[in-house]
Order: sequence, then C-alpha cells, then structure tokens
Amino acid sequence: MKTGILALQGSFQEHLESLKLIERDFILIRTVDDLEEVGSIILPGGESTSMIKIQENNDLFNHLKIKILTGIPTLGTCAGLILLAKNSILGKSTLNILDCDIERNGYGRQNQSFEGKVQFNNFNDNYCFIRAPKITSVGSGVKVIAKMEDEIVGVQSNNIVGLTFHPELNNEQNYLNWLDNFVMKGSNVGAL
Amino acid sequence: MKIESTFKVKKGFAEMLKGGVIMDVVNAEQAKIAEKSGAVAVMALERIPADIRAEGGVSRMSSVEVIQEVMNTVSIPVMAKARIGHFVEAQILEELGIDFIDESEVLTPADEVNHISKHEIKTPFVNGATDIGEACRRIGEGAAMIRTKGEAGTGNVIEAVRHMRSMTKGINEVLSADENELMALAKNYGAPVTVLNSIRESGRLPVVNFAAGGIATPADAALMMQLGCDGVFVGSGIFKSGDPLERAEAIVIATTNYDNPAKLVEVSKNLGEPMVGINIDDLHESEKLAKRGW
Repeated sequence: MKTGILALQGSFQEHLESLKLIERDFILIRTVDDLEEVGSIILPGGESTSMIKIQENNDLFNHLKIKILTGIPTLGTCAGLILLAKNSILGKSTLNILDCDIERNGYGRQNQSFEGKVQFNNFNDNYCFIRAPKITSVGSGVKVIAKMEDEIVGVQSNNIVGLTFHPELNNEQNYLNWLDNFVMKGSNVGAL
Repeated sequence: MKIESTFKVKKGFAEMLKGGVIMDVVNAEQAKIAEKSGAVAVMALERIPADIRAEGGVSRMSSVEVIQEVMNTVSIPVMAKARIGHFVEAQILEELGIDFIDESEVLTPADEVNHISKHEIKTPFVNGATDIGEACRRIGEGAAMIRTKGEAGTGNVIEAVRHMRSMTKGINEVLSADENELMALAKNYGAPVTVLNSIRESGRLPVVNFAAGGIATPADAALMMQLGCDGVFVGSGIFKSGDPLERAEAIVIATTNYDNPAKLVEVSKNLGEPMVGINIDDLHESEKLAKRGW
C-alpha cells in the first residue's frame, strides 16, 4: 500500500521528499480515485481555507474521512491538523475526526512565525512554526505526543496524529524514523 | 526558546503557498471574494495593474486604512506591494504586520539603482525576476520568494512564459556546468556565486518561484504550472473580467489540477468575458513594467 499525500495545495512536495528518504511508495491525492491504493495518509501544511474550497469540487473530503475512519495511519501538519480537528472554516466543516480544539494563527501573523525547540516523543529538535495554530484543548483519549516547553504542539488519537509545526521542512533523522514506523504501524507507535 | 523570522521561516512560509493562487485586491470587498474562491493569499495594492496602465501617474503602496481593512476582513495571508527601493514603505508594511511584501515593478520605482536590503526586515519579501541572474540578485538581497515579472495588466501571458523559460534555461545551465565554470557563470549572470551553489545543491531555485504578469484564464495558470512554476499570482485577470468569483474559482481549481485536461475543460466552461488583452508589441518600451528594476 502507498502513502497518499493530499496535494491540493501546500507543502505536499516536502512531505513527498520525506517519504523518498524513508523509501516509501507514495501517491498524490487530488481526486477520489487517488484514494484507492492508499494505506496511510498525510495532510500537508498550507492554507486550510483554500484546501477546503478546492476539494468541494469533487467531494474529496467525505471520501477522505471514510478512508481515515477505517483506521489507517494519518498525519496532519499545521493546516493538516486544522483539517483533522473539530473546526469550521468560513462556515464549512472540516474533517472533524480528531478530538481537540484549535485556534488558527494562534501565535499571530507571519512576523510572529518562529523556529522553536520541540520535544516530539522522546527526542528534541528545532522545528518551524509558520502562522501556526494552537491546540487549546484536547478530548479524552487524545494523547499529547509533542510539546514546546509547556505548550501542547502535537497530539495523537489512535491512528491519527496532528502537529502544529512542520517536520517536513527539516527531515530530522528522529522524525524520519518516527514517520517510517508510523506509516507502517499507525496507532502502535509510542507516545510521550 | 523561540527565534522569530529566520530565513528558514520566511522561505518555509512561501513553501506553504505552493500550488495556490494569490490574487490582487484593492479593497476588503474584493479580498472577501478572493478568499471565498480559494485564494491562498491576497495582494493589497492601490490600483490593479490594468488601471495603473490606463490611468498613469505615480503608483504607490496602498493606503494604510485599506491594508488594515483587508487584514481585518480575511483570515488568509495578506501581502502588499512596496515600490522598488522604497525601504520606508517596507518598514511601514512590516510595522502593520503584513504577511509578505512584494517589492514590485508594478508600482513606480523609488530608486533607479538599488533594491531594498531585505535581510533586516522581519516580513518576508517576494520579488519579480525576468531571468536567473535577476532572481539570484534578489535572493542575495534576502528575497524569500521569486515570481516572474511577466507584463502586468496586459492579460497577455507571453512575457511570463518568456521569463519562466529563461529561468529554467539558466537553472539547467548551472546544473550542467562543471565546477570550474561556476564563477564565470556567476559573472555572466551578475549573480552571487553563493546562490548558484544553492541551486546546485537543491537542483532548483533555492526559494519558491511563482508565475505572475498577464495570467487571465485557467489555461494560462495551468500553462505556467506545467512550465514548472510553484503557483500563480493573478492581478487584473480576475477583477477586470465579467464574473470575478466564477473566474477566480476556475483559476484556483486549474492551478491544482494543471495536468488534468478533463478538469481544465470543466472549469473553463461558462466563465463569462475575460479581460481585454493588450499585444506586447503595441506597448512602447517605456510602458513595459518588466523593464523596471534589474
């Protein structure tokens, strides 16, 4: 099975490079047909408002949601997390399958974007936070898997992981090892 | 520990815009339409290029009120244009908290010789370029994103195509050069050799490169994407057309599905009147905006 990267807009090329580094087969998801041979999913960074608009055209998110609910490993970074979380954007619903609340652009605008040290599982690396969202509350059954000082910056609920930062811009070996495990095994990967 | 506005963060932000459409708007109402259509960002400017061309006069940074109104109206990123070399307009835009500054040839240049030194400003910059040398000079000054200059306000894609082809040709030349030829190439292009080294490392321009200047139809957007651009800017093409929302949505879908002809047929239907175009040959040399900057 391939790892499908949502490729409507955003950092899908960077996620694709990460998958090349761990030698995983991938497919870019633009239409419902692209979901057929997908065994794990990555939702990239970008503009969530645009992605929601672009997929309306072929009702992609409804099919994507059904696919994710079958329990396949799913990773969302930044805008990808916003799409997974309980949310609505310009009156339109997101995928709504990760039980946490999100504040979009939680740190401010681009001038407040930064690099920060993150504890992700049991390793520490610097990552980019770009007009990043904040996770303001997490539901029961949702584990915290990444923190920046005391702030929650990554969560996992079974097969679904959401991160507020962009590991795809760095490709740290620690992250690649985690990703390799995650797309293979999904929920069996350890948390904090 | 947080470090704000590093070059990695500036360049990374541009990466997040890839595959998207950035639309010129002159007020909050147009910004709302752009956001609704799926734009990844809006570009606030005083007048759209076709009007600047028609009306003439000095064209400057948008008014502070308009920029703030646009910022308060939409949740997507807001960019704004500053005149070439006008570092104080850039300082004002930085203070306003705009998300990206376009040091643009569409506005009347403030300095015939110098562009803004962009490293010191927290806000990332996008600059126009007509070839690899110009792109590398702007990156050397700190630009975090490049776009083709094209010929703004004409609805004619020929110059954007010329600039993109020229850029690709230059990159291929750098990639196929022998190590010993690099400094001579840098001299010919008038480009910092350090930027040429980055091109060799990554196999491409070290920052995102969008198409701009003359894109008026979904097919124009898809053409620029197939030529290797990372995304598109649309200026006059949307708000000078018969049905701006319809056309904006069609260009957004076409940019994502640039290599899917069936989708391109679907979105090219029922678009209403496109903007009226201008033949580049009919422009006097002094009317060509791409000649501004170097």
